This record gives sequence, structure tokens and C-alpha cells, in this order.
Amino acid sequence: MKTDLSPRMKVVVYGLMTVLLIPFVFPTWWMVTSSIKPISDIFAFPPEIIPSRVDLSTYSRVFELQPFGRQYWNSAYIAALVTAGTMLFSAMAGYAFARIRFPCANALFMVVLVGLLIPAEVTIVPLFQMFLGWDMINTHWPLVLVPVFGAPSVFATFVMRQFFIALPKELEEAARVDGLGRFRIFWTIALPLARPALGAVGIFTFLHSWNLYLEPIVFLSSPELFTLPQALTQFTDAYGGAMWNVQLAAATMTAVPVLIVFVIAQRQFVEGLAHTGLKG
Amino acid sequence: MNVAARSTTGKPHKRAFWTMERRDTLAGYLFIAPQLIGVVTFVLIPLGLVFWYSLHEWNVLAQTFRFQGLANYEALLNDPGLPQVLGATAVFSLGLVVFNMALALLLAVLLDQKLKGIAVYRTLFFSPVVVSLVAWTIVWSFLLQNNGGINALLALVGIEGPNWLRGSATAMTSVVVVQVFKNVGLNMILFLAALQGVPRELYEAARVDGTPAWMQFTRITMPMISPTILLTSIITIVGSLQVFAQIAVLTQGGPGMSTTVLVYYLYQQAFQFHKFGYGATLSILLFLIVAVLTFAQWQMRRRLVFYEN
Amino acid sequence: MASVTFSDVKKSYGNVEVIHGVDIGIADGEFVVLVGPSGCGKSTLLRMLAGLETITAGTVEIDGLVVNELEPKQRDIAMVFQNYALYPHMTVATNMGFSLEHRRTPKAEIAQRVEWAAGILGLTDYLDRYPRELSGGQRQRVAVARALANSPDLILADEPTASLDRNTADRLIDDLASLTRLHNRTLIAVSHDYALLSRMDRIVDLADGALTGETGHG
Repeated sequence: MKTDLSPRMKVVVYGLMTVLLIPFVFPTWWMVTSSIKPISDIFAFPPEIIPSRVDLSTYSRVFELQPFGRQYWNSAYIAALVTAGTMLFSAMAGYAFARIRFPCANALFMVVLVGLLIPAEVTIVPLFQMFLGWDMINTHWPLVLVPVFGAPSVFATFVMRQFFIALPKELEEAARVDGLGRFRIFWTIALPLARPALGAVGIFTFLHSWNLYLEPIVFLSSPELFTLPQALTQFTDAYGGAMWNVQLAAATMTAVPVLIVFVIAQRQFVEGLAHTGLKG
Repeated sequence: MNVAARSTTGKPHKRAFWTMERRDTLAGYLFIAPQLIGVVTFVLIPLGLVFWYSLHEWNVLAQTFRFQGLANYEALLNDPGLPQVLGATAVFSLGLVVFNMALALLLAVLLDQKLKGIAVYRTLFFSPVVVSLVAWTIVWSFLLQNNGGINALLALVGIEGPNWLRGSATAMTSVVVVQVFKNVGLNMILFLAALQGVPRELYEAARVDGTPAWMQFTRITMPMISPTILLTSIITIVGSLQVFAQIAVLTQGGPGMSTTVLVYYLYQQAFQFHKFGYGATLSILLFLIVAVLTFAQWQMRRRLVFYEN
Repeated sequence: MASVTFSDVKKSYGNVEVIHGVDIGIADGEFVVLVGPSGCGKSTLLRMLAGLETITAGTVEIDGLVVNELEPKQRDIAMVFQNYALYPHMTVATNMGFSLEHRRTPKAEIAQRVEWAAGILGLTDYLDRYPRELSGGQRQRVAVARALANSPDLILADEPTASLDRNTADRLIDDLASLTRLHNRTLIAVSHDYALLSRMDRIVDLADGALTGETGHG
């Protein structure tokens, strides 16, 4: 481990990694290139790794067949609300569980942790009934409320708590001597210092919301309310067969912006994950 | 007026009501209130309701809601589809965890080497994690078609590939593989961080003692990163029980019921066949499996984990 | 102007009493150090004076006013911690002015007081730096300057030299001593640093939560 490899071993490691890379990278490449091929070329044999002809008309078909712009907006604003809400409330709860002494704190923390044990799928039937009773079926409310306050946010609270536990006690005492109350300590001292943990929580909350699939198909039925994952599966012909080129174009538009953000901010992604994972 | 006058003159002698502890108590409750109310509303109450529903015959289309005791649980035990569903769930989860952990560890060890350009490899291995799940699954579905990219590539080297998603064994393998490549990057990064957290002096001491490389790995590295392996295996197993979008997009549970895992079966019963009572009973089963697995992992923790911070 | 009186002060955690009735009087402008083996309760005593720990029984007075129930901010004190406790996300100047800032002190006055305190502790060139860019000794001087900038009459210091090397600690002790002599502050420190002890007006000995002796240096 961590010793310098011999030149021969280096070749072996590079070769092995490059071969292993194929199933990780090729699907994305194939998605993007197939989406710009004319329909007649996408099942061509031999397969065209680099497209010989480009046809971008598929991309306008995406918007003709589904209210795709609207669906894009739905996914984006839901993910933004969920991310902001989760960051705020999980930071508050995580801070209180880590730093404030109050009666029953440990018992209440255990109650919250139950959320970690229960996959969202277990409670989907009663949640459907509850939202039906509140007249919120076929609205975006369930897709915002459940992630921000329910089981998915518990992991975020856990991560934030682990972070705040490690914050030096003296900083808060200095702040109290400086005359700050609890809320000001949280807002001006603890929260700014929690930026790495908040970033990690934000990234993974966003991805979780962006990928949500079971919940939208259970709660939503009108195409103009659909989110992207749900919309992607709707591009079928009259016989229910997949319209591959249109699906791939829509998939490309869904995946590529996030990939670009990832490449730009990949250090935060990876380090944020390592950070939360280790502590968790 | 009298009261006001008394209270102002009385003040210096009384203990102030809003002492530090009281204010902290109030702040603590206010800070956790959103999360706590949320967990009660969206986790605990629904969990109770699931159990309550499971004691009822409830068909949404027929609008029946009738208490029937444990009849749903009897139906569960006699459900001819259930053994197949549980079998598929077990095969999927085991296959996923074993393949995922092994690949994650291999990638982490490779990425732990001091090599130029290693960060680029790390980024690329991680990239599927940020690709939208359904988009990723659609591409693989496209690749796995009988006339799709994978069989075309195999044909170039003279192999006739199977119709991946139409044979029961290959369909299950496909679902596992698609899911592993999607998310193995997460575990890879966790393992990499754990590997880099092993104190370098331990390896130096081992090298001074002349310990061979493979023994350094099995006797130093593995014990030192075992807490991470355990943690990620819990997360991966529990996560594997939640697989839904991949099944829905790739195979719809087929061919036959060969890839109908528990969550997909639950979804079919509740939302396609409108049997909410039976769906709730399946939810209880899913909950019990997750609870037992988590409990078993925590017990194993005592025996297997050699080192902890 | 700040005198401090501890009268029969006790502290319990649950059923365990750790401080058993301590009486100390400290005069205005005195430089006093509390000493004793670790765990004897000297830090707890200081933290009770600061308002960071509750007082189980007895009274603590600052300038004749019973402060038992007052928040730290109402006691007009400043505190220097062993681990500096500088806010890592703020510059030296912001750290020093932070307390004044949210007490709605005018900006010009904050700047003036920060300048003044920085000048006394030789930090004028470091005002725009962040704590991570400073050495341990510089950080602790920032902590002292932060205490000074708030211009309380009473400054508390919990093991101020424990994280510093010998030379840096000596320099800090000079600074602390000058605060009492030149700027008329009362300073109460908890320490087991002998160099610090030799510069004291008075040493208060504690063991097992009770006063065991006092030494005046005159």
C-alpha cells in the first residue's frame, strides 16, 4: 500500500483501471451519441461509437410529445425546495441534538433515528391515504413535505449532528461571553463553520430528490405535473414500444447538466461524501 | 396596577424565570420541532397505519374496508407468489452486496496508489452516481436490447449474446449489474477514505518486520477498515431492498416473476391491483426484514469490528 | 472598576458536590491566579464567574452586584480560553469587533477600539488575516486583544498559556500583566504555569473544591 509501484505494476494498474472504466463511462457516452444519431442509425451494425451523421430533430420531438419544459421546471424547483428545506431543518435539529442540553434529548433523538430504519417504501400506502385525505394527491406537496420532514431528512440530521459534535465547545462559550443567544450562536458561528457538512447534505439531498421515482408515480397523474424520471418513461409509441431516440434525448437533457455541475464541483462531491461517510 | 407594582418591587428577590437552562430547553425543542413533528407525521404515524391497514380487507376499487384480523397474514403465508418474490429479493440483495462490496474495494485499492492522473479515474468511476437513475437505467435498457449495443459489440468478436432482459437468469444478472455500476462509486469513495485513514506507520512497521504485501492487506488493512465495510454493507443491503425504478424500467418484474422483488410486488398489489390491505401487509414484511437485518448487523459489529475510533 | 466576591459558593453535578463553599474576595485592579491540581474545581469556579456554569449555592458578586442569575453578556466580562476559541471564519479584526458589532456599537468606534487593542498587543499588521494563518502565540494574543477591545473591567483567562511554548507564554504573560498595571483591569486566571504565578498579585490555592491557601506577592 502507498509504496511506489514498479513500472511494470504501474502498467498493470493503469490497464486494469481502464478496462474497468468501460461500464462506467460507455453508457453515458452511448446515451449522448445515440440521441444525436438519426433513428435509422441507432441500431446500426457494426455499432457506431462515433456518430457518422448527426440529427438534432429528436430534441424538438421531446418537447412536442410531453410538456418537457414544464416537467424540467417541476423537477428543478422541487429539488431546490427540498434541498434548501432539508439543509435548514436538519442543521437545526442536528445542532440541537449535538450542542444543546435539554430534557429527553436522547430519547427524542432515538425517536428521530427510527426514520433511518424505515425505507420510504414501507410507508407509501398510508402516506398515499394521508395525502388523499388532505386533498394533496396529484400535487407536488408530498414530494416536498416527505423528503424535507420525513425519513430521507433523518440521515441529513444524523450527518449534521456528527459534524456539530466535533465543533470545539470553547467557540460557543466565547460567543456567549460575547453576548450571543442560542439562535445567534447557531446562525453566525455554528452554521458558517458547518459549510462542508452542509454542502455534502445539500448535494446528496438534491440527487435524491432529482432521482425520486416511486413517489412521483404514486402521487402524480397529470403529465404537466410529472417530474423528469417519470417523464422519461413516457416516450412510447402507440403500441407501448419505447421511442429510443426520443427517450435518450430526454435522458441526456436530464443527466448532462448534473454531470457538468459534478465535473466542475467534483472535489466538493467526493470530499463531502468521504467526510459524511466516515463520521456516519 | 397593584400587581404590576408588586412584581417590579419583587423582582430582585425572585429567581428570574428565564434562566439559562430554561432558555436552552426552549431553544432545543424549537430547533428539533420541525424534524420531530415531521418524523412523527411522515414516519411513525404511517408505520402505525400500515399495521392497522394490514388487519383489514381493503380494495380501493370495490371501496371495501373491513376489519378481518390476521387474514391478510394468512393470505401472505399461502401466497403462491411469495416464495418466488422473496427468492428474487434475496438473490438480488445478495448478488448486489457481494458484487458491490468486492468491486468497491478493488477500485478503492487501485485508486489508493500513487499514480499520475488518478483523480481523473476517480471522477470517472464516480460519475454514474450523479447520472439520473432513470436516465442511467434507460440507457442500459437500450444497451441490453436483443439488437442493442452490448450484443452488437459481442457480435463484433463473434459471440452471439443472449436476449438479456428476456431470460430469467440474465434479467436478474442485468438488474444487479446495472445497479452496481450506478452506485458502486459511493462505496468506493468511502473505502478509499478508510484506506487513507489507516496510519502509515502500521505499514512501515510491517515492512520493517518483513510482512508480505498480501498479509499487510489481510492483517492490517482489512481489520482497520472493517467498521467502514460494515457500515457500507448495512447501507447497501437496506438500499438494495428499496430497488424499484430499475425494475420498473428494465423488466417490470419479468420475465414471469423472476425479477419481482418485494418492493415491486408491494407496488403492484397496492397500486396496480388496488389491494391496499394486502399491500400494507407486504409493507410490514419489508419493515421486519429491514429491522432484522439492521439488528443482526449491529450484533455482528461486536464480533467483527476490530478497531473503532 | 471591578471587584469580585465569592461567598460560600458551591457546585454540584447531580448528587456530587465538587466545590464545597468557597469564599474569595478580589479587589479592583488585582491580578489573581487560581491554582491547584487538575480536577480541583478551579476552572469550574472561573466558569461560574463567567456565567458558563450555574451556581448551585452561595453568591458571586461583581462590583457588589449579585450575578448568579445573569447571562454572561450581562456581566461585563471578557474571557480568554486555553484553545484561543477564535472564530475560524472571521478575520482577526472581525473576531475582535464581533462582540461590539452585535451590541450595536457604531462602526467608527469599533474600528477605533480594535485598532487600539491591536496596537497594545502588536497585532496591527495581522488584522486582515484569518486565525489559521497565525501562530499559536499570535492567536492567543488575538484572544487577549479581543477581550481588551470589549473593554470590560474584568478579564478571565482559563489556562491562557497552556497551549504555548515557553517564550511565547512569557511574552503573553507580560501582555497580561501590563493590562492590569497600565489599563487598570482586574484579571483572574486559572493556571499552573509557574512563570505566570510569579507575576501575580495574589495566588489562591484550591484542592478538592475547597480553598487551601493564599499567597500574596505584594
